[in-house]
Amino acid sequence: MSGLAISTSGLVHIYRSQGHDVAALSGIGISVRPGELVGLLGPSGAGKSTLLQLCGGLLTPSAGRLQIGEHNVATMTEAELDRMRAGDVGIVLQGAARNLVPYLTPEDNVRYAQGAAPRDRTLPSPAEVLELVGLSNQARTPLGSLTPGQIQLCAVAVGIATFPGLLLADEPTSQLDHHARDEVLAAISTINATTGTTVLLITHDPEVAEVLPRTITIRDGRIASEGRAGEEFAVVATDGSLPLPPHVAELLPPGTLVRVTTADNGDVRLTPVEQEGQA
Amino acid sequence: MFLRRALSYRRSQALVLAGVSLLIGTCATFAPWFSRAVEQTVTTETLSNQYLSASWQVEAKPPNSVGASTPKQPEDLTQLIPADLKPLFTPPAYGLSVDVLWGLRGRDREISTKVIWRDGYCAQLVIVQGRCPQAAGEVVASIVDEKSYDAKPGAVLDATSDNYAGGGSLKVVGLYRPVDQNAPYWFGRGPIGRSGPATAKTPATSDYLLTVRETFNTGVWGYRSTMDTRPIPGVATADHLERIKAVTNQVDGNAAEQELEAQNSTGLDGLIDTIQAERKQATTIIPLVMVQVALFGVVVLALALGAVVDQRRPEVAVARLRGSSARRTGRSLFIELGAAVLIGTLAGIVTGFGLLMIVRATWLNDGAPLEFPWTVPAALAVAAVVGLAVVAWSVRAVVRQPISTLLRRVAPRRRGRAIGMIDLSIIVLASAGLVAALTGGGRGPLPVLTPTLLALAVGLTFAHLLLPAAGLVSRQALGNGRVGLALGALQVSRRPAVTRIVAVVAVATALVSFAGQASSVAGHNREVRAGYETGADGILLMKFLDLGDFTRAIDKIDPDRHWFTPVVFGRPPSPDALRTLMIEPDSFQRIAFRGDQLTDAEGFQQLKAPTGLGPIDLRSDRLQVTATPGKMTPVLPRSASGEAPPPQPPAKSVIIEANVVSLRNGARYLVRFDPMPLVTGKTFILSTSIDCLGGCRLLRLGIGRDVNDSSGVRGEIAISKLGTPRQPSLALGKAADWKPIPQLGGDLGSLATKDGPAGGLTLDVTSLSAEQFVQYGTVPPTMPALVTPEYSVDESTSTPGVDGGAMLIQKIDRLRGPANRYSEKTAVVDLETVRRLGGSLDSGSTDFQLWLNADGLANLDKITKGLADAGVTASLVDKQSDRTDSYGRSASSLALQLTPVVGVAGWSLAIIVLLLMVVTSWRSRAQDYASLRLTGVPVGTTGRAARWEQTGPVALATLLGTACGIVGAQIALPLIPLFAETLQASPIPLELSTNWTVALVLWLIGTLVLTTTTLLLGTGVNRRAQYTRIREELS
Repeated sequence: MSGLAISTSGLVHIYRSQGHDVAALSGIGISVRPGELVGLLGPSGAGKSTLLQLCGGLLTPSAGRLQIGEHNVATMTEAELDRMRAGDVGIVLQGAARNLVPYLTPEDNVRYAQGAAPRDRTLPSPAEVLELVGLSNQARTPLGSLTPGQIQLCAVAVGIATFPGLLLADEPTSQLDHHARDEVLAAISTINATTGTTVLLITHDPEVAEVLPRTITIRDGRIASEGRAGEEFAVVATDGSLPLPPHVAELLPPGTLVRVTTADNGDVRLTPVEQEGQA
Repeated sequence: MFLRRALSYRRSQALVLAGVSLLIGTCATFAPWFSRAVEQTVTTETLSNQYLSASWQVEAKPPNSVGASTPKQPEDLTQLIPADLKPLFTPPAYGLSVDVLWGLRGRDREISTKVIWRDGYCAQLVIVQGRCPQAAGEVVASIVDEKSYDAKPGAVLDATSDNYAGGGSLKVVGLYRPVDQNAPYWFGRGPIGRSGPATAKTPATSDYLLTVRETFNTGVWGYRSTMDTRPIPGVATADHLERIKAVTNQVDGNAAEQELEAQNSTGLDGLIDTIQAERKQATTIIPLVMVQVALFGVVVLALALGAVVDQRRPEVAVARLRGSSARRTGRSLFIELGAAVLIGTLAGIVTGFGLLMIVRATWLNDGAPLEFPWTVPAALAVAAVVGLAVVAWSVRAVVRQPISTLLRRVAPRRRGRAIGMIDLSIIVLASAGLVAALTGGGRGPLPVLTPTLLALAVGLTFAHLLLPAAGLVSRQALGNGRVGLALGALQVSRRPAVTRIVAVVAVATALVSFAGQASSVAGHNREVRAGYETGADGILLMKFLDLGDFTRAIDKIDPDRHWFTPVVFGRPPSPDALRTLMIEPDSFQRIAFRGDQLTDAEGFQQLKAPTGLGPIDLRSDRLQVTATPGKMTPVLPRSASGEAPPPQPPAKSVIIEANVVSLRNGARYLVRFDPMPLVTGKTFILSTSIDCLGGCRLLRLGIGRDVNDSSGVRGEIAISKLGTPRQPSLALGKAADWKPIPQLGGDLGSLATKDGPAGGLTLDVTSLSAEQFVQYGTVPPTMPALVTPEYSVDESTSTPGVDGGAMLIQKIDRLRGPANRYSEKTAVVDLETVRRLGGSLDSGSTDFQLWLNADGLANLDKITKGLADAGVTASLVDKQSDRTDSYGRSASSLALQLTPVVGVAGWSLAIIVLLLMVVTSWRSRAQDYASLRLTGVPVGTTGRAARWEQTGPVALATLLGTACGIVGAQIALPLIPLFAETLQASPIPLELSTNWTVALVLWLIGTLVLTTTTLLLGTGVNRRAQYTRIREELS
């Protein structure tokens, strides 16, 4: 299956709890092309995992639009979401062990993950999947005998057991040593390149972010910036707002009046009004 | 798909589920099996132990006249047994018999006995001299008859058929003694082992003469043919009883139809009714006990499944994450857990059968055949369905959770302390069941579930109150610096699982407590009933010819009544009339079963013979009286219609009479003087013979009339002297010491006393021909009696005395307990009063008994020897321990032997739950305590908190459960049939009050067992509270 596109617009998610509500996402708008490999960055609590779970249909958006390929996630029923996860969307949760059935071998875990796939779908063999992540030799090794890196690779293999159009991975490289981290990252890149699967992964690791072709930084439930090939950009939202990069935001405390002017060469200039008066 | 590996991976959980299910399956299968086995055992044992009552003793009469027809042969009677019942009955035992009067040749034929033949009788005899008969006319005589009548081998007996024309000569060819005269072979028709010459009241009798069958063909004996058979215990089962009963009731009718002239003597009909009543007990009690355990097992299974399913949340989350629907995921989990539950439940049939084999070999003495009643698979199927339903319910609750919830490491709990809907539903349902049980009049199954329902409702309510209470305790303890207690209480307050533990422990201890109460109360009631029905520890029965001999004999053996209390029992001819239980109140209170509770002190005082007045003794062969008539006036009695009767000639004389009681034999004599002419003021000295050389006591004085001189008269007769030649003037006491004896039936005249003349007594007479008496104050004019409550008493009520005559009674309305041994239609009177009243013994209606206590039983040999020295043979006819043993083999008793099983099961289930809760929560608890240690809390403090966190609630729950069990037992016990139901309720009341000793012991054991478990588990948790534990994942 080829990769699935992700498109969100004004995506809002609010966690409702006793006494108060918490807005985890406050109008996210992103667009990911099919087959793209995108990293989600941002501090803890920014809303990365919430966005990932919304994409996987594990949470239902409070407002806004969320399109995964042909699936309008916001309006899907539970059964439709089950079918989507069974074939089109693979999920790797943070903590490799949480993705695996502890008493099954890697091969059986993959087979187990394929169990709910639509019957009309052509599935890769478990060996094929494990080959892709480099676990062919450990196909029948008990999970308890695998290294942490191998367990993470197994979790990734389970995530792509049906060769889904979208792979969602929540910090797949955390708690791994550099070597294992690189192996996992390489496996994900291989999957992305080989199967054309769109990959959306969360990471806190700057070294991982550096090697990703595209990153999206989320802060306070909003898109803060995007990175392309190591360079960071601010992103103008669909409502025209522009989150300032942190080093600029420090210069412009909240409430500051800013004059926006454009130069002839097309540059946009932000000038604080107070600064001008003082001058 | 991966079922085997899933089960293998969490095999301990699978084992717990299978283990609890095994218990449920065992209960489900064992209950119907055991119930059936008890029914069969009761049937078998009743048919075995009461084989004579169970027997058909068919006897065909001889023809009415010689030559009318030949007597029926015993084999002809076999056709009365239907073909389908023949395999269930013993092979018929045939016999012929005839009642004869015989005598040695040349002597009178006055000895009464039977000549009998029974098939194979020689094998049942020990021939001590001579041989067994081989030809017609030969007989063997009992060795007792050799002593009594010199009937030794070679003797020729001339016999005449009693009530028939024929007879013949019989030659004695041997002497026998029966191997066992009570053996089933004889069917109660065996030799009696007694013989003796004629007495004044009984004819001469001998033991049976046994002969060959041909003897009966040699003469016109007019013999009776007999056929005896009985259901074979163990072959005739509970299922055959109704058929056997129906056929038994038809035997006589069928015999008449087939012109067999035969009658069946049997108690089988009533015996079958008794068995059926016992079966009903078994089918009531056993489900009652086992269903509660099974229900408790289901509750524990639900809790275990809840914990197990909770641990499966990550796997459920993985499945859902991979697109598996909730239904599909649930199905997989259901198959995995359901397999363990199903295997455990089905394996219950094996353990149930094993348990059955054990109890069959021990409690039931192999008295039940091995059967596979349909109720066993049915109950097993129900258990399996219930178990699987619980699995489905538990699984459904988890798989329906959103994936985001499933993904959380710890299952989110409701905040606050609101009672959950499930708990609330259980409380409401249990309360509703309880109310229905209390208001339903004891009908339906709910009342028997009272202990469980009560414990469930109270336990859960208490558990929910415990959480805020623990929070409060925690805060106060913290304020007082008691950190260990504060931490423990805090842990209680924040763990809803405590509610489960408290409820389960409460139900478990309630079950155990209830089981203990049921067992002990039932056992107590069996002992009480056995005690009352026997009367004392043992009953010795004997025959005496008079009350005086009886008194002298027993006074010689045990004058101070350390071993026994004498009882004389008088039976009236009518079964509906009052019977007399004559007792010695003082020794009765000490010796008889709860003798002191028969009445209160006042009642015993009223029962006793009057004291204060000395007897008027006389010893002579003549009694003489000096009397003077006063002015006498005629009296005309009114007729029944109130009209004046026709005129009568004036009365000429009256007859002075006296009743004296012989000190020699207790007999009461009427002494009559010659008629005394009614000459006013003239003194007469009258004398008459009496049989009082051995001593007598004056009981009554009276006025009688000559049959030819019975006109009514009124006046005074002054008795100035009454005495014997040696004692011319007996001290007659004051007028007030003499009381008139009430007369029944209209105006019959009257007799009263006045003081004077000096040393004498004046009788104020109104004589209308009937005898009138005044009785000396040593005996009340009416006999004070405690009368059993179902019998209504009025002024004309009487009860038989030792002479069989009626004694008017005066009811003492102070009976406090059942009358021992004779609890219905019985008047309890004072033996000494009866003794003073005297009377010639009617041996046919009077029994002499000694009621023995334990010491008496221990000295039985001495007592019987003492009686033998007095010429009396006594036999121990009843023992309380035998009756207790007999009740111990009743269906009720056998069924209630399950109660220890309930106790063990209850505590085991409670311990399983405690273990389960620790297994599922120890990691988070250990992490909590490890975190506390990080903050500087000493290990000793966390240890105390860990130990008391569950110990406190469990100890409280044990107390609560015990209380619920006791209260529940008070409600449910009246509904448990402790004894077989009879048409008429037993007058011996059930004693269902709480056995506090048992309750206390079980509470202490329960507290010890369960709190020890929690203390050990808490210690284990604290030991695992290491710092490294904090880093472990909670999942």
